[in-house]
Amino acid sequence: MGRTILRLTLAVPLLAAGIGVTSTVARVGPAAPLCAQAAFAHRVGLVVEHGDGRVLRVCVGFNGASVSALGVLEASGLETGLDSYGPSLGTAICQIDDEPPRYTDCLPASGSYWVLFVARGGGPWSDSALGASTVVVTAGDDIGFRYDPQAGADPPPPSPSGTCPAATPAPATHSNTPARSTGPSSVPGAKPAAATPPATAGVLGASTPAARPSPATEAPGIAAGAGSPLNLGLLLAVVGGGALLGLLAVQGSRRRRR
Amino acid sequence: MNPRALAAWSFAGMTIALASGNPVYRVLVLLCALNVVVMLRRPDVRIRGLFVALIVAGCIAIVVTTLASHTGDHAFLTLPSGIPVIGGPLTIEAVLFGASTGAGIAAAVLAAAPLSLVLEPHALVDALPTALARTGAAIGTALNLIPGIARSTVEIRDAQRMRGWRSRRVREWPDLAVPVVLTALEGSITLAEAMEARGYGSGARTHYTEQVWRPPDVAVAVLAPLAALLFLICRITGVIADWYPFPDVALPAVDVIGVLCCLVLALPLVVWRR
Repeated sequence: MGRTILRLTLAVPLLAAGIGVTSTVARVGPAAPLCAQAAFAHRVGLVVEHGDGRVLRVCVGFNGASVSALGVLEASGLETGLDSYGPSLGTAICQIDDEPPRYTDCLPASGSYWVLFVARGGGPWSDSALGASTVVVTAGDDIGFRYDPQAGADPPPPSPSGTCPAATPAPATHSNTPARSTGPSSVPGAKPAAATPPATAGVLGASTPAARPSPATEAPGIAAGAGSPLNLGLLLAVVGGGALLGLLAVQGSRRRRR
Repeated sequence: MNPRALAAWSFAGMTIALASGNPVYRVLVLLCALNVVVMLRRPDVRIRGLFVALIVAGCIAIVVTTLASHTGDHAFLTLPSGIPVIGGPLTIEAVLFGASTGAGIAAAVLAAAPLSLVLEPHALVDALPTALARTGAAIGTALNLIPGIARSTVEIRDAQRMRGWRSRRVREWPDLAVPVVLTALEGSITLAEAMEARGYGSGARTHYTEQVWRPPDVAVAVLAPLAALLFLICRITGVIADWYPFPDVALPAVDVIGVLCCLVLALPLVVWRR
């Protein structure tokens, strides 16, 4: 009995380690750069998935250390409808690229609304716990908006891979460069970023890759939390938790024997 | 073990358990505290009641959150909306949020539990700062009277029953309450006289044995609060992410620093022995 418990104590952390490594490897995916040349020091990928499955990808550049998700959306040149919920709650996204065509309630109790996702450092999508005006992203992160019907499965937007290339960023001497588009301009709803651009952010490239292939091939509604830091941390947590559970089992076994 | 080192460890555990809503960190603190309680508790202490209370508290947190919170994308049952408060969709997100809340409560309680389950009461009173010594002694003495009053209540109830007393009517309860109060007062006066006879209040509190700081005590007393402080700083600066399952549940983001801070709480398992 004691040996069995000791074996379990060793097996649980090892099994957990295997699961953690497997999940880390499974998240690696191909990348296909859209924009060739950067005009800004940093870049953030923006993926917008409409209710009918149409997907817009915009590579947005900026020069500061970070930028808000709302700043990225505004700099992308896509049409937006916003509603302010005060200084504490921030700004709500009511409309992107004319979807919905018109609205009276920005966040309806029933019906579709825009859900914000964030992918940190090339990791998988995760629901944002904060609003678009509060969430801050840095270079290499991605922002996703999905028009969610509040019914059925709730998958994240398609992978942000390829929205922005992994090229060497341009020097920061372009801080006052006006926003401009350097990529293919085939986005139906995309307007020139010069319309409402923040001074230090703008569109680097935009594209409409293949629409969402099939809901059945996408990830389920429950998404992973973050990128590589999550995996290592989760791995360590599972190993540590398994060891503590094993220790608890050994103590219980010893006490029962007495 | 040094009581002050254990108090510092308890404080660190409670800080980490309550500083984040992330269930991963809460469960790690819970497991560390559970091991400490099981391994280091006094031999005469029974912990089954505490575990039952924690399980009940966790279940209550899950049920209340599930019934009262109707947000979340994954509904598994819909109650008629005409039912006040609980009517509406019941979601998986609410269940998980309730479970996380229950884990936080259990972790915080188990982090504080060693102060009463591991230490002797007099050692805990001795560990208090000088300014709080008299207050601590008074509170400790008052708390020690509670079990005595409970025992007295049972004895008096049994005695009254043998005399034909029945507890069916409220108007008959004074027959039990009055002797219990009188016995408690008598016990308090006896205790006060005994304490005065032993010199309580006549000068500084004396100690039969001095509390010494050994290297393991110092390690626990320094590293555990440092881990809690680091966790708090990382939580405030956003390095350690919180977890919020609404509207669509996602796996919690786990940071290596946060996990290491939690695992530092397992230090007493390595350096202390009962």
